Amino acid sequence: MAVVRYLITVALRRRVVLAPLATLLGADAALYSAPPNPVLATAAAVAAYTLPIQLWLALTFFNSLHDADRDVLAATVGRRRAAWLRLLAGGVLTAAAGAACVAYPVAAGRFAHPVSAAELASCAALATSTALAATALAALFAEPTVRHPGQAGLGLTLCTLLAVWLDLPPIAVARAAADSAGWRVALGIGWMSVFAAAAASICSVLWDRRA
Amino acid sequence: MSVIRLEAVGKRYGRKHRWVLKGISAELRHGEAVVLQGPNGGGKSTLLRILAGACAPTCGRRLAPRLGSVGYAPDHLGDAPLTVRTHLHHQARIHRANCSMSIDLAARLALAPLLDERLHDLSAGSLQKVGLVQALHAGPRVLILDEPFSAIDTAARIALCEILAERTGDGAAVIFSHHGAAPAELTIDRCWVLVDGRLRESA
Repeated sequence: MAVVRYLITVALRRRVVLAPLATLLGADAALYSAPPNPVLATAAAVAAYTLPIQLWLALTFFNSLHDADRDVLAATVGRRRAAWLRLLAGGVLTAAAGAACVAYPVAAGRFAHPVSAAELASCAALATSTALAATALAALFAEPTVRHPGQAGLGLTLCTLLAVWLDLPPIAVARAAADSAGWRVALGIGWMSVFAAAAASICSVLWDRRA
Repeated sequence: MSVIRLEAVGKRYGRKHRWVLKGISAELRHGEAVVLQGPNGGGKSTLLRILAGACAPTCGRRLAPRLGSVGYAPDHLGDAPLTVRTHLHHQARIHRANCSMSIDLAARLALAPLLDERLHDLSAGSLQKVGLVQALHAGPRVLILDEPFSAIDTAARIALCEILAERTGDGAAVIFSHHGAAPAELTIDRCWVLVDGRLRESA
């Protein structure tokens, strides 16, 4: 946990993640400002609409570590472990941001009715799985795999457009939640979790080889 | 007894790029000090990164000790927006080292007055001292230092040589890259020279 704490501290102190964080929370507040906001449908729509911001946040986080600091970390804990710890730190940061996106409407009473524990758990699972999938996808386009920020941005934009075109989660989850298709929401959450794990595994190998 | 061994290690950064290192087989032994020399762009930093485990060789293999027993100082440290004290505190926790060891080393390298300065406000020499402290503070069995004397002042150079002599005396292996004659204050056991990506040992 010392490594995760260090990586998040450096990213926050560099302030590079503050812009995507502020944009994410601002977008969350704006999307919840129009009632009636049915619980799961709105949470799923917010997760889908804020996906590009989550990608921006994760990419900025991963690229905030200097090459030399990455080398020192790899020499200290091992290259593969350092890659997994970077992924874990990115996941913690984006999951915390996702949790804040769920906490705000609950605390501010923005939902159409009081939120039950089951609904809250569903929203949390949705926000977390979306954040982790976004983190893993951004990691595939982060340094040292992709060194040019423009190429990384272009790649992530294409992936987002592809998700919309092919109706992949979290877009599909937002549609399913709006249609009250609970099983499809659960399926989407599971799909995103599997995607996050697979992409993170590929990324750890890529980071190891590209170091 | 060797602490790190390289077997036929080669390195290139991409298929279209030239080979930086070619067929390097070498070993670093307990208690010895090795200086690595070679021209600019000759692959010294790459070789040190491979020895440290920070970089994977394109071919060949590196046989290394358990994790946590390598102290690595790159030629320039990242200027994270932390104070020296906070940075060293984080690094000590990552290395599972005692913070007081960092403070002692900082004092020996005349870094103590700068502990509350931010890393990006430090001069190149002071930043290099921070890198050296974080490489040294966990008492590693192998010390890999990339041009450690390039920016530090004479007093710090003498102090660093004393520290390195103590560490080799305790059985640690030390390798560092350096241009020109090695510091007179330090006994060098071997000299590696990189020429055209190949390693030669000279007297």
